[in-house]
Amino acid sequence: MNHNQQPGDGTHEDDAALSDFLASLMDYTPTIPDELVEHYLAKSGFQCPDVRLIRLVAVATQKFVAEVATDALQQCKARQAAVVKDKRDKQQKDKRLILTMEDLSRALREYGVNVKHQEYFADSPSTGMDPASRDE
Amino acid sequence: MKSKLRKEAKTQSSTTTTTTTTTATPSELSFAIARIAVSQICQSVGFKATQLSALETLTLVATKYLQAIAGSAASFTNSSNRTQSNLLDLTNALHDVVSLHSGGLSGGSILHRPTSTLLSTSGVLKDLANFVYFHDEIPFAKPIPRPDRTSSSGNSSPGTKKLDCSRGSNVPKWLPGFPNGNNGVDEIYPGKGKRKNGESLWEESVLVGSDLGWKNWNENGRKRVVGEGKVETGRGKVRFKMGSRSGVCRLENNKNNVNDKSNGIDEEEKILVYKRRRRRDDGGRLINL
Repeated sequence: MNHNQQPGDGTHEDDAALSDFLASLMDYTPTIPDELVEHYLAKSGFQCPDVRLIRLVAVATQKFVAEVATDALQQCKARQAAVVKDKRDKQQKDKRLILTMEDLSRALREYGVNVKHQEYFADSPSTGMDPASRDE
Repeated sequence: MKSKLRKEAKTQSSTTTTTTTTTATPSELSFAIARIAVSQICQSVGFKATQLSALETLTLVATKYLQAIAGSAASFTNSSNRTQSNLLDLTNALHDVVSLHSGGLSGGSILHRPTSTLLSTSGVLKDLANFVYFHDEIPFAKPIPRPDRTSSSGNSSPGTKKLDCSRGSNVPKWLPGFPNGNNGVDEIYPGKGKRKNGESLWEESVLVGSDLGWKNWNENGRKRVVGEGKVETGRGKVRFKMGSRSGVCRLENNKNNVNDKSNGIDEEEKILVYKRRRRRDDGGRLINL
């Protein structure tokens, strides 16, 4: 009997937690604006007047982007640490944290997205120069 | 020298194996807004700068992710015979998409159980709740002005422009408005009521009282004046029979039997009948004179 009653209390608490979470979404402003999310939702055939669900999609996307960016940041830091070990003095200016295609493609590969990019893509004049200078 | 050769070989191999990532060009404005939002997120994570190509790639992936969630939720909604999505559809969709990477499969199979609530079973919702709880909110850099729906702007479709207030709440927003039949010429489709030869349909000439010789004519010794756009007051019952002849709506007028011949006939035939009557009418007028 006691065993049966416990899940009932648990579901009640979880109900309150769920409604609390949904209510907190009303106050939380995601970085991805509601208008943008509504545009993409409407484009995909998702129809819902509830703002909280739209915010939930925005939060999910924001979380995904933040995770990918964090992974890319870790890749960037690891790469820089490996380089700095070899040549500490030369690469001081390289210490800035820059989101590069290399780190991003490695981070996205863990999420099932295979990004193929040109190694010498003319993004900026210094992009193609860095590996060459490292070779020599 | 050797290094140069190596470099050349490297570039050649890279050009042969690379493929472009952006296959489709997304719409400009939404993509620009998404790019700003993604760059804000990257800045909050700790990046100081970004390559333009990396930022665009991440933005594209983010928009695809959003659309994948939305499409999955919409398909869940449609498969349960609804048009409006709810939280369960969205949670199912999130489980579909999220389970691809972070192993968020916990509780995805028992979402539908009535005893279990969503937040306790769904690991994805728990993660999202933690994300909302522990991360500071970074509002978007600039408020986006919503397009004013009430003013007659060019971006809305012509059908939905005017009738938003008059239609009921049961009619979905994306349906075009009904054509306005009160005037002979539609406001929404201006070219619809006019024909090349200046002819018009029979019913329009009755309703509007157009100047095609309908104003004064005798029928059964009565003089009848069709007013300007006004229907006669003492009218009898008007019955509609649906689908009586090849799906054409048939109109029956009990009191004024003048229209019997033209009932339920196609538009072309109506015009023919109208022309015949007009000829007869002219003849009658000549006799009267």
